[in-house]
Amino acid sequence: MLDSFLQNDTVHLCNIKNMEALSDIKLGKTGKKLKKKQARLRHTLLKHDGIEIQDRPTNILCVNNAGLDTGMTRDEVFEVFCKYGETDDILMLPKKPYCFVCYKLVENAEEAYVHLNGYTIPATDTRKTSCTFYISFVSKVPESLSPSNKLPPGLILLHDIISKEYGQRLLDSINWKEPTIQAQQRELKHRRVKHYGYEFKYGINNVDPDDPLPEGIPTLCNDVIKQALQTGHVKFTPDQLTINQYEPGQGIPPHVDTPSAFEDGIMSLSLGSQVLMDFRHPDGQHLSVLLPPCSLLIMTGESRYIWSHGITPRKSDIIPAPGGGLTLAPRGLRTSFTFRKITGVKESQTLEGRDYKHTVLENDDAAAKLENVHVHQVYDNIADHFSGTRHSPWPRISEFLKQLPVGSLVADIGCGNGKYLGVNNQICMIGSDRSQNLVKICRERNYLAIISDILSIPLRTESFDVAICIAVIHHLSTKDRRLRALSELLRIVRPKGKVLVYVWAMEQELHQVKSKYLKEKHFDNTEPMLLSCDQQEVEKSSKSCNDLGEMARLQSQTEACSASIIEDKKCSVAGSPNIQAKHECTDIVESPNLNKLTICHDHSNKELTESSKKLNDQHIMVDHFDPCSSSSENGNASVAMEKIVAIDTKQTGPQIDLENGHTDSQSEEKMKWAKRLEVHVNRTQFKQQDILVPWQLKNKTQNNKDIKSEIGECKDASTFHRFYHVFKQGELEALCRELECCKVINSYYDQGNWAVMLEKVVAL
Amino acid sequence: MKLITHNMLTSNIIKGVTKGYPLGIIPRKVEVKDVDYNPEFLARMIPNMDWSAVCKAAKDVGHDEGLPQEIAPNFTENDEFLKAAHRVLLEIEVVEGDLVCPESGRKFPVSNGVPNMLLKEEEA
Repeated sequence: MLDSFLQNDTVHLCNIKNMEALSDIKLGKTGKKLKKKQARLRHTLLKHDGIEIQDRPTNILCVNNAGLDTGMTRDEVFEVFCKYGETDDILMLPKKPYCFVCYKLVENAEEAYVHLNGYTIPATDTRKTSCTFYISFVSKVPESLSPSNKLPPGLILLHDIISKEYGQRLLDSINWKEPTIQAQQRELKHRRVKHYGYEFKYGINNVDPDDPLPEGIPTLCNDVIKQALQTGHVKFTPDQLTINQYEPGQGIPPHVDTPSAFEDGIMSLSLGSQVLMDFRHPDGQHLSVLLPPCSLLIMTGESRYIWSHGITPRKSDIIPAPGGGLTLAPRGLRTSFTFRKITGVKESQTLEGRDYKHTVLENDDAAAKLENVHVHQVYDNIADHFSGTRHSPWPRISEFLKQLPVGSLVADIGCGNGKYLGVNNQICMIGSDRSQNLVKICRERNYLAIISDILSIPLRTESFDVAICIAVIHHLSTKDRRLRALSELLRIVRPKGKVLVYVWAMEQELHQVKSKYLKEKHFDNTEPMLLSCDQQEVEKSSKSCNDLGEMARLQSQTEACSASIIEDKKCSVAGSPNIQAKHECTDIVESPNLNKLTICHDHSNKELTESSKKLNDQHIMVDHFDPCSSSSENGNASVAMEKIVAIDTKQTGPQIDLENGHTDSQSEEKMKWAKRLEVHVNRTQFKQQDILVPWQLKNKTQNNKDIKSEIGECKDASTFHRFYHVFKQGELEALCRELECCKVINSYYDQGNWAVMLEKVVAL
Repeated sequence: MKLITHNMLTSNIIKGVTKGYPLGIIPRKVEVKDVDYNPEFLARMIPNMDWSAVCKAAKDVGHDEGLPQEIAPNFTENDEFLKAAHRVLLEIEVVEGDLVCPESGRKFPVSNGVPNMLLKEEEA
C-alpha cells in the first residue's frame, strides 16, 4: 500500500550527513559530480513534476537515468533494484529520464541508495549507451500518475450509471468465443475488440458507412444508452459499439477518435476493473482520470477533439484510498463499451488516406468566421507574448529593406509587432495589422502603424514603392481570399513597385536532415531546444529535393520555381515530437455524480482579460520555426515549438464586427473547425495544407490546486490554434500568375517559407 | 497617427466609395513631439505626398499656421519648407479623434494614436 509507506518516512529518520559520508567514501572523486547531478535532479523534479526530494530516506526512490526516455525498461530496473528488497512497484513514466522505485521498506530503499547511487548500467543491444543512476528519496510519485480531480474541458464522468447486476448481464452477453464473422472481433496486440453496428477498420482508421455489420448494437444496451441521452450531453443516438477488453497490463495508446468518422459525444461504459485513463493535451497538460466500474465517460467538445486519451499498460493503478491518501490498486479484467454515432463521411481514396479533412469552406462568410476565431482573436490574445518572444527580423527580408533607396515608401501589411518597421530609418514604413494589440506595440515603439484588414487595405492606390507581406497570406483560408490579398498588395504599389510575399511552406522536409532530428528521443518536449545541422547535410538534402524526391510529388504546378536556396549554414528544427499516436479510437469512460455534471465551454471575458494580463509573466514557445533563429552565434538553431489548444476566446473589440455579434456561437464554431481541421503536431511534417497550428503560452502558474468540482474546466488553458494554409512548392507563384497586374521576378525558399518578389506591371 | 500616415490613408475600401480621400480629421487630442530632422529623407518623401491633403489635415488639427499651401519649387534645397514639412508630417500626431470618409461620412476612430480602419463585413 502506497499510503502506508508514505507514512513510514516520518518514522525512519536518518542523518543525511551519514548518507553523504557513505556515498563519498564509496564514490571517492566522483562524489562531487554525484552531488551536482542530484541537485540538478532535485530542481528538475520540483520544477516539472512538483516532486520534492526528501532529505531523509523514504521508501520511494527517484532514479534518474533509469527512465523510459533513457531507453531503460521496467524489467531492467527491476532486476537491478530487486536485490535490495521487495518492491511494491516500479513506475516508468513516458518521456521521462527517471523512474520511481517503490520499496516496501525504507531500509531496503536506503540499502539500494547506498549501493546504486552513481552505479553505471552497461549498454545493451537495444540501449546503445550506458546509464549512470542518480538516486534521490521522494515521499510521493508525480501527480500525473495518480488520478486528478480535474477533468479536461467537455469531459463528463457519470458514476454508477448502471447497477452491478446490469453490468454483469452486459458482460455475460458478450460472446467472445464464437464470432459470427471475423470482422466483428479481433485480438489486437494489446486488447480484445468486438464491434457492432459498423466495424472500425484499423487499417484506415475509420468505419465504412456502406458496410454495416449484420449485428447492430445489442438491445441489452438500450437502457444505458437511454440514460446517457437523458443527461443531455449527447445529441446523437449511437449506432456503433466497440467493446474492448483489457487484461491487467494491457492498454491503449493515446489517440483521438477519428474526428471525421464519429460525431461529437462519445460514450464509454467501464465494467470490471477500475482503470486510470490518461488525457493529454497537445500543450503537455496531462490529466489522469480514474474510471471506476459501472461509470460512463462522455467525451464532448475539446476533450473529444483536442485531448488524446489512452491507457498506460500497467498492472496496477494508484488510486485514492478510502481513508484518504493514495493506494495501489491492482488492475483486473476491464471491459469497456464505447458507443458512437458514425458521421457517414467516407474515407476518400487519397494518397495518405486522410485528406478527408480538406477544408471545405462553404463560402466567404465561413472563411471570415474561421479567420476571426483562429487568426484575429488569437493574435490579439497572444500579442504581448508573441511580441515579447520574438523577433529579430528575418535576415533576407532585412537585407532587402536595407538596400532600398532613401525615402522609399514601404507598406508592411501584416506587420505584427513591427519588427521590420525599424530596420531602415532612411525609408518610410507604414505598418498595418489586423490585431489591434499588435499595432499598439508598434505604436509604443514609435512606428507608423494602422489597424486594417489585408482584404481592404485603406491605403492609397499606386502610392507605395514597395509592399511587404510577411507570413500573412497563409492565414487566409480560401484561395479566393489569398488571391484578393495579393491583389490588394499590388493595388497599393506604384507601377514597377515591388511586392515581397512570404508564406509558410508545406515542405518543411526540404531539409531532410530534420527527419533525423525529429527521431531523436532525448528532448524534453516542453522546452525549446537547440539543434544544429551542418552545411553539408543541408546541401545534400536540398539537392535531392531539387531533383525529385518528396517535393516533386507534391508539386501540382508545372513550372518549378527557383527553390532550394539555402544560404544559411544551419537549419532550425521544429519542436520535439509531441507525438500522440492517432490510432484508432475506442475506449473511454468516466464520470462525476449525476447532479454534478456540466461541461465547461465558455470562458468569460473577464477570465480572458485576466489571462491576457498574465501574458507578460509567461514563458513562451514560439510559432512556426523561425528563420532568424538559425543565425544564433553558436551555430545552433534555436527552435521553438508551439502547442495547441482551442480555448474559447470570447473577445470584445472591433473584430467582433465580423462575427455579426454572434459571440455565443463561437465555441460551437470552434469545435466545428476542430472537427474539420487537423491540428498540427509540432516537429512533424505537415499532413495537409489547411491546419490549425498551436501556439502555447506556457503558464508557469498553472498548477492551480484549488479544484472546485469534477467538472472539466480549463481556466488555465493557454494555447491557441491558429489557422494556416501552408503553401506547396510552386503554389504561391501560380497564385500570383493568376493576377495580370504583376510578374514574378524572383521566387525562393527561405528557411521553411516560400517567398516571391513581384513587380507591378502597368496595365495596358 | 502622424499626418504622414494620414496622407496615405483612404476610405475607398468602403463599398460604394470611389475616392475616399482625403479623410477628414476630427481631433480630440493632438500632440507635438520632437523628431530628428532628416532633410534628405524629407526631400525624397515629399513627392510621394498629396500636398493639398497635407494642408487640409494640418488645418483640421489646427496646425496649419505658416504652412506653405504649395510645394516649394526648389523644395529639396529649401530648408524652411523642409522644416515646415518635417513638423507637419512627422511631429504632429493625432492621439485621439476620428477620421471621416469624405464621401460616406463613415467615421474611423483614432485611439491611442492608432487609426482603426477595420470595416464591418457588410461595408466591405
